[in-house]
This record gives sequence, structure tokens and C-alpha cells, in this order.
Amino acid sequence: MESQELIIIDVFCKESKIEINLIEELEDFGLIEIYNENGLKYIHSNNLPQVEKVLRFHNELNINKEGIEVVLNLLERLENTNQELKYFKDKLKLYEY
Amino acid sequence: MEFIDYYKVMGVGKSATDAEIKKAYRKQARKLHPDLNPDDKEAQAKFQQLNEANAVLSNPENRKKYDKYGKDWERGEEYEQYKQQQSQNQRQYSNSGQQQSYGNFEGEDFSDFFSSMFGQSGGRQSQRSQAQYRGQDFNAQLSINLTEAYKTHKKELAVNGKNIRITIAAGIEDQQTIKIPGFGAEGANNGPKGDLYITFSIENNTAFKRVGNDLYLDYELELYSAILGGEITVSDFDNGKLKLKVVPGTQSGTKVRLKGKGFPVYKKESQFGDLYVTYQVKIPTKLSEKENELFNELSQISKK
Repeated sequence: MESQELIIIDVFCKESKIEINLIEELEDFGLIEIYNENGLKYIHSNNLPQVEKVLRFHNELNINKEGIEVVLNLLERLENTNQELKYFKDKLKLYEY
Repeated sequence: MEFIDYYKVMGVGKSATDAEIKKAYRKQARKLHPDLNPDDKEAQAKFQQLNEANAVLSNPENRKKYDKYGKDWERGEEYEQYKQQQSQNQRQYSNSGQQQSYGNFEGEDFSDFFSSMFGQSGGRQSQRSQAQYRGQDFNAQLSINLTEAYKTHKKELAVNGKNIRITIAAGIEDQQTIKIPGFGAEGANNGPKGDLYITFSIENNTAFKRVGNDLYLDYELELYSAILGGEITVSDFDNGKLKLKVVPGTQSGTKVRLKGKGFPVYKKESQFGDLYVTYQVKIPTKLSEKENELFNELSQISKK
């Protein structure tokens, strides 16, 4: 089983040079997941790539929360479509000689 | 080494102002950013070039040098002199840059052209504007054949000088990516390590065709078996022998489904797709005199 580290949000924000408010806002909006344990807030290390991706959309491309949600939904849809496309391409190959 | 027209990459004219360059960079980045173009190597390469273009054009000193020597980078005394000086100057302008590039994605190396003109640091500021706590992810490609993909097996690979042993579960799909946690780069300030992502390329070394978890096989059926019916033996993917009954009057293209004789379902033990056997009726091309005679006789009978 994959081990999971818990990263204290304050530490993550300090190291990543971002405001805690931003992380909380993104969580409120449902874009990232935060865990509460013993009065402290954490991010699971498994979720870090997703948190970083959301932060890149926000900070590097200046996309607001609503925009990020739309982008993430579209990316998911794109991935599903690509999988379907691969399936049909493989199926088409059955008719190639 | 080819000259790179950074103005063209950025989509601006040579007289573009700093504001125009900034605007063009943002616009292009929103199109080519790797997070928006997963698995698109072409977009990633273009994004890398865009970052280079930005590092040059948004830094007044770099832009001046590029405008002066850019096209003549490989000839001219002046440029040679400049090249000799560049290592001394590098530190100076790497700290003076105003530009900020996006992201820090693996494989974001400088082009030879860029490195030749500006060195490896080239006036670029630290690339990761924000999330740099976690170590960088590594991506690797691994080719295996379909026979290997059929069974769970272990494989040893060298990633960045480190040997790792991975278990590849039966049923892995072509172009599927698996994550090996913690095998990426070290994190900053005790941050977690990045992950290793391995994308599989599966080469078909068999007569079977795979679609998802199903397998397809063409079987050449003798004309007489097709007409009169009979029993045939087909080998499944694992070389198990399957006896099939052929009904009289079987047409070419008839498909038979053998449930659970297909490819293993990834990470679902004892679950398999199906095997579809398609009969291709083989018409004899060389007939003996006797056969020819008999076929003619049959032909006459059928006309009656």
C-alpha cells in the first residue's frame, strides 16, 4: 500500500511562498482537499500534485477559482475522450490487413 | 544548432514593447502550458521555447544581445568575444532579470542555441514561481511486448542512475502510465520527494489483436470444415488448447466469442476479457485434376 505523508499546511505555505488564505479559499471552493487532525490542517502527500497543479493555474496563468474548476472538468473530459478514442482506434485496427 | 527566432515564437514584431511582449507571453502560455496539454510533447516543446523566448525578450540586456548577435551567433569576431565574456557576465544578468517564466517541468532544458548565447542560467530567474516544496516528478517510457503484458512480472530499470525494481501487473495497457511514489527528485526543505511516472508502450509480438481486455484472432478455416462442419483446435493467448465445434455452412467472417479467454484485467485477479475468433474461410488456389473434376461436378449439381 502507498504510504501517505501528512504535510502541515503552514509548512507547505511557507515553503511554497503562498498565503494560507489562498489554500483555504481553494478548499472552500472544493478544488483541493485539506484534512483536520488534532486541531491542525494538513495536506496528504498524495494530493500534493493536484494542489500544485491548482496553484499553478491560479498563480501562473491567473485563472480564478471558477475558471480552474472549468479547466479541471474539461481536462477530465478530455482524458476520458482520449481513452475512448484509443479504444476505437484499436478496434479500427481489427479491420486493417 | 539552429537559430531560433524568439520574436516569431512569441508572436510579436521586433519593435514590440515590453508590455506587448508580456501580453503575448501570457497569451501563449495559456495555450501551451503543460498542465493544459498533458501528454502533448509538441505543446511542451513549444512551451519550453516560449519560456526561452521570454527569458531573452523580457530581459533588456538579453534582448539587446540577441538583437545584435542573434542571427550571426555562429560567426563574427564580436560574437566570439561576447561568448568569452558570457561566463563572467552570466551571474550579473541572472540576478538582474525582470522576467518570470512559468513552471518547472521535467525536460525543460535550454536549447543549444539558447545555451550557446546565454549559457545555462541565461538570465532566467528561479523558474518555480510557487509550488517548489515537493520534489520534481520524473517521467520515463518503458517498452514491453504483449506477451510480457499478459503476466505480472518484475522489471529492473535505471532511472537517473538509480536502479529500481518494479512489478508490472498483468493487463497493463498500451500508453498506460503508472506512478511509482517517491522516486522523483528530492523535495526542498524536507518536502516530499517527487514521483516517477512510467508510461508503457506495448508492442504486439503475437497474432492476436487487443482491444481493451478483449483479444481478437483470425482463424483460417478449411473450406471443407466450413461446408461440412467439424471440430478445430485453437490456441489461446496462453497456449492453452481450445476445441471448437464448427457448424456446417459456416460463413467467412463468422465470429465466435470465447468468454474469459481474453487478456487479464489490470489489477483484477482472475478476471479476463473475451477472445473473439473470426473464421476466414480458406479457398483452395491449386486444385488437383481430380478436385477440379469434382468441383465441376458439384457445380453442375448445384445448377440443377
